[in-house]
Amino acid sequence: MQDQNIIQTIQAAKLQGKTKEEIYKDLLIQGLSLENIEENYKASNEEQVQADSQKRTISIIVTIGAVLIGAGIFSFIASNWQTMPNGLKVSTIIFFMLVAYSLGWYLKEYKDAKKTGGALILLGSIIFGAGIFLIGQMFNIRTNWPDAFIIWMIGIICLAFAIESYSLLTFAGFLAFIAIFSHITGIFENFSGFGISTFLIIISTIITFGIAFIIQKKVPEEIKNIY
Amino acid sequence: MDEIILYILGLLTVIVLIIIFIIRVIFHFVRKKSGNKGSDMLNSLSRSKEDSTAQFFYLISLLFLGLSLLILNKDFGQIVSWEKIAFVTAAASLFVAYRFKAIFALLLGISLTVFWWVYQSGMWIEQNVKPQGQFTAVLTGSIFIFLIFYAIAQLHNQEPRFKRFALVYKYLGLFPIIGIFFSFSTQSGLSALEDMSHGLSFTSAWQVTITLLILIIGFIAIFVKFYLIVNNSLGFLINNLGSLINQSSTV
Repeated sequence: MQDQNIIQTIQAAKLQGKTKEEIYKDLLIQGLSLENIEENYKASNEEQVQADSQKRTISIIVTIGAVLIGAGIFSFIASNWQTMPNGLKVSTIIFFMLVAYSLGWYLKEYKDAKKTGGALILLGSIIFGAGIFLIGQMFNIRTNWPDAFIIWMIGIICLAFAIESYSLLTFAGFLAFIAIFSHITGIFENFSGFGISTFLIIISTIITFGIAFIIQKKVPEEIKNIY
Repeated sequence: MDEIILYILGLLTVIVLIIIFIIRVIFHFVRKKSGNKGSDMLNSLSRSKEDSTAQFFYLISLLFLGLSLLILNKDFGQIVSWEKIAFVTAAASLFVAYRFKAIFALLLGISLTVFWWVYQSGMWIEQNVKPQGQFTAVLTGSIFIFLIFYAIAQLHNQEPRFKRFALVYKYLGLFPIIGIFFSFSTQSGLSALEDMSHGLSFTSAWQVTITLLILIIGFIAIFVKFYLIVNNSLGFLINNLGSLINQSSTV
């Protein structure tokens, strides 16, 4: 028979990192029958799966929401872009970026809303990237367009390190892939002004290698020596 | 010649992509099957976000390295050919893979080495055998490389801590060979094979002949090493069979 108290006890024990055997042992000592423990253990697993699936759904919805809000902000700015003076344009970008970051950080750290906070920080990262492209366009900065992705990637890596976010690091990795493949096609298309690009690419090699090295140091001991 | 080389390179690219997909599917199923258990080695590896992120960034840094070399080469007026850069990147990838236990770097290193061999051997034949040489040597060399990969996989499998690398070598050894044989069972594959076997013998291209010899010797050496390891383990088992039986009867 399923008992909510037993299920909660099992879930609490799982959170403490206890193994299945240890949980069974504890419950047997408390005088429960093996059949009863098995039934409640299964029920706790089902509840866990349900809770995980709910969390995943919330995470997806919040992320899509963040991206759509970002798109909305950009379409609003784009429609009024020509009439705005340069100073206002830069201030708008920085303002929205700071709001997204601050709110995300606040929700993540102080309100225990990790998913929503993470989604807002992602929104801030997208605004940061869009800002790089828009500022480049505003001031007619002459570089190869994939360089913007490299600068974006470096910024995201710094942020990911500051808030210890692996999902942001993965996002930075995808930006790196875009930059790499765009540059490879650029080599055959004769991109101009390779001075800045060369510098950025060499810097990126060092940064990404350093990141990999630092993160590898955090790998759990039991799998550290596995090739 | 370019068409044949492109045909082989295209085939290899498809095979590498399929292998990456298969490895991902395997990890996915291992993770799903193991549920919350953290004891299984592959399971704990697939669950470690630190490990997967580090692997991912090693791969990115190696791609950036290749790109840096390509761009520097362009800045300095194309002083070396792109296939030499591919070779250097492959060597760096293999070094990083073994030094930092990076599986994606290994995949990149191996793939680039095969690409380099296919392209370079084709170029050697084209430059040294006139008017036209047989390109079957390119195919033979590739098959030997894949066999060596399979043999290395078996060697790595002897040690549990090399299980992941063994997985990469195994699939990079088996699938391309299956792919090549499958491709030669089709009409277009057969006509490609026919085109390859036209012309003069490749032995005039000494680089190709020497590389093929090295590959054959390498394959035999790895195979002998594997045989010795297995033989030693069997010998140990046979020598200790008596004591093992005694122990089990006592228990």
